[in-house]
Amino acid sequence: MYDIIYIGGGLNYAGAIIAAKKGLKVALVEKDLSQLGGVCLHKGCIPSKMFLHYAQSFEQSKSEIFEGEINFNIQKLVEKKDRLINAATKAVHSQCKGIDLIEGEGVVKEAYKVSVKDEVYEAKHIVIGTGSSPFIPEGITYDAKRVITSDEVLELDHFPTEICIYGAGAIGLEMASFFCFSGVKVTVLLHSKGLLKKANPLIQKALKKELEDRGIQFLEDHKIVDTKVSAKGVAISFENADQIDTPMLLVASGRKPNLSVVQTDEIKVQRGIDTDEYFQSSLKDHYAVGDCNAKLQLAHAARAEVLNVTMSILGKSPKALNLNHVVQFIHTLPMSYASVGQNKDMLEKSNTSYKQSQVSLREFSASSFHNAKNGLMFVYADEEGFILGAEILAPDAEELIAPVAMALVGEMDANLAGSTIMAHPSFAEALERSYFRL
Amino acid sequence: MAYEILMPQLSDSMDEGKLISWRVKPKDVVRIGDVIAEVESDKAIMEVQCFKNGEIEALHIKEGESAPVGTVIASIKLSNISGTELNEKADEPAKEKTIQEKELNIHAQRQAQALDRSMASPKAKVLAMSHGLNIRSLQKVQRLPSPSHEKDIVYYLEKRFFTPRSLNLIKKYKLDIFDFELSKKYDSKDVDEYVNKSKLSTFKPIGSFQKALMKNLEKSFQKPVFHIYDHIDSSYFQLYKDYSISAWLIKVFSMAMMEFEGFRSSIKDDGILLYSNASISFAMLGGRKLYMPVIKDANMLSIKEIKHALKNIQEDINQGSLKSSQMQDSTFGISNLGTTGIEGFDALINQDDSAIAAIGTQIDKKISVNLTIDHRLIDGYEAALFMQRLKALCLDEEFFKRNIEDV
Repeated sequence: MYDIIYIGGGLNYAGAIIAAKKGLKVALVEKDLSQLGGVCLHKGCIPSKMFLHYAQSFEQSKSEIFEGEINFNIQKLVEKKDRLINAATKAVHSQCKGIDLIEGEGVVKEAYKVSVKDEVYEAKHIVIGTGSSPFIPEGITYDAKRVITSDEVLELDHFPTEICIYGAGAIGLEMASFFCFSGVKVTVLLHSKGLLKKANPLIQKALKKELEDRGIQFLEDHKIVDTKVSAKGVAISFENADQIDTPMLLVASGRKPNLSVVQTDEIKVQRGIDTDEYFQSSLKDHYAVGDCNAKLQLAHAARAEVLNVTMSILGKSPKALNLNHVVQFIHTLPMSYASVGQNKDMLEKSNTSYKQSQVSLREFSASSFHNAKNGLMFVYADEEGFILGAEILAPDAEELIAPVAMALVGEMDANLAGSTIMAHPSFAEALERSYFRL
Repeated sequence: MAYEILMPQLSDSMDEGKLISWRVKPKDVVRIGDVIAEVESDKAIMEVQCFKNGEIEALHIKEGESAPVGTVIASIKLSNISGTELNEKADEPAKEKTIQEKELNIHAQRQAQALDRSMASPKAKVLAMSHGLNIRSLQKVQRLPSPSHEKDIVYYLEKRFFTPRSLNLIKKYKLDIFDFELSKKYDSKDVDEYVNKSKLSTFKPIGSFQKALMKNLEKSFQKPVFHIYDHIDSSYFQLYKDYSISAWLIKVFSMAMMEFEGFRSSIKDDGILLYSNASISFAMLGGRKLYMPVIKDANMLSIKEIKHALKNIQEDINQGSLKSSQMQDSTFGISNLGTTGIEGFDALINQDDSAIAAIGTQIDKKISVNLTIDHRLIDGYEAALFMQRLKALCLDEEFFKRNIEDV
């Protein structure tokens, strides 16, 4: 009998390590132990940001200041990535000493029991963190060669001459940035209209212009109904009767929660596994964290969730997480988009009265050599001046937004937040100005 | 966590003190201000006060023994008892308590003065001591001014233990920061939980929107009004239900208004403003707020246009984009509570309108209409004729047919 069985070896491992250190008997079930660390480490956050980093360096090397020819060797990048991830996976394995690692697909058929292959393990608490998988819409034939997902990008042995990307969510736009900066002609296919429809309208416009100026083409209202793969490439047919031939199609239509782990009616499932504010499912002592509870598809949210659950099980009565305070971002190039707290869209929809301040990065000289002239910063506050949230389009906006996230947790008002003296020159200065203008 | 009580220096010349008697024994629960011992110094016997909430863990010297200033004489296991629980425990008569506290304060002040030579008022020193603050070291890092006063210590404690938003709530609800055990940082959620848990009545100031509303209501109430009560037939409202009862009411009332100019009038400054068209203020909900947007020149609008006007206004309300210009220039109001099942009610006249109709629910094909009328603009006879016309229009099928055809 285990104290806790964690199912899924993604960010779940963070909780398992803490529980084991506190002396609990812990098991971690993972269908492929070479993938310990999950999508984040092997196929998502870490490798994608690494790829984006080198694509940006490559693009920056094309400045007229640098002379001579530079080639982007994707095979070397893939090898470098493999080495990094192998080292990181080893590090996770060594931290997992003291945890029973069980390989195989874990399934919950009845309360307090996890079946893995032919074995059944019992536990006082079960934490499900099975993550999510790429969603391939109907009509698209995925073959992992010509029609790929972001997984295959990380194993590419050469760049295609051009690529079509279906979807303009986080993965779609990051992949578009990566290929565009690597010198590949990119066409983004959108099934409806508009980019980042929930972002501040001015940021939507600025980001679209930024990407278009770099040569990315957007085709709106292009819903794919059929794909035909041949030796030459992919023939795509759209609902609007258009047709396109492309050497490669990358499908980035979102990710769907992995729910096959639940095989009992006692755990209620809708879009994801239903959970309360402490991530407990409809069955007592059975929890769901990360992508599989369909709350936020973000590794850092998953990590916070599993730690919160583990603290609850350890009897530490943690505070309920405020998922609204989680930083969300899309790492486009050269500027990324980040938001925290309430954005303009949420404030408008909830009928909240609010003040906003707007600062353009153009006001700062450093924006010219950081490719950030179109950068924008919005900070929102309630009528009394308390910070409600922010949206930022800037280089590494996800880093820049951290002080706002802290101001939210610390429940600061604009006066107090604005009395922080930021370094010069930095884009954090723009934040100081945003607070000042509220 | 244990807290140690030291032999206090009760006068400048005191080097050691003799413990005359213990007032507590191990495992006793003590709270801030409790006297735990009596100590004899050079000349006098003085009480030793406790500056922490907790439980006596151990007494380290016996009665009758002497110890140098600064020796540990007792240790306390700090508790997590919250301030309110402690207050509940305080059952001594209030008067007695204040006298006792006063005496204790004098002692504590002396102790504090003797032990701490920082620049601070005696009151500040006592408060700082009771919360384990070292004034001198806080002054060194500019967290406290020099000299410090009681208000500075309170200000420091406020910033130290409350987020700006939670402090704002505490002031709004008129709570006291010392109701909270000052051992962790509280956020607004904690303060809300405290209020809910302690079932306190809270104080919420009236917002500017609500203030304006209250002023208008008071103004309306001062008008010399009279009422007329009757019913209208609702058969045709049901028959032509492609359009809501609200839309039909606006249509019917606007037509009747065109025949009685008192209902198109409004008192402005020293005169009476007569409008050539019938504009109606209509009560609508946005969240939990009530708005009175105006359907302008309703008599000129087809039933379809009225339907669209209502839909557009509701969208403006939902998006919070209703402008004040959309709530002006009416002379008559309608408040329809029919959907809530209420049989009938009276309404207060909106702003400068001449009258308002309070509409009840449909019972046996009848709807109650209660008019509240400003007697300065309309007399009883005109009001009765207006009601008569209204009832006749509701029974006139040609009127409904014509309006449908207009569409």
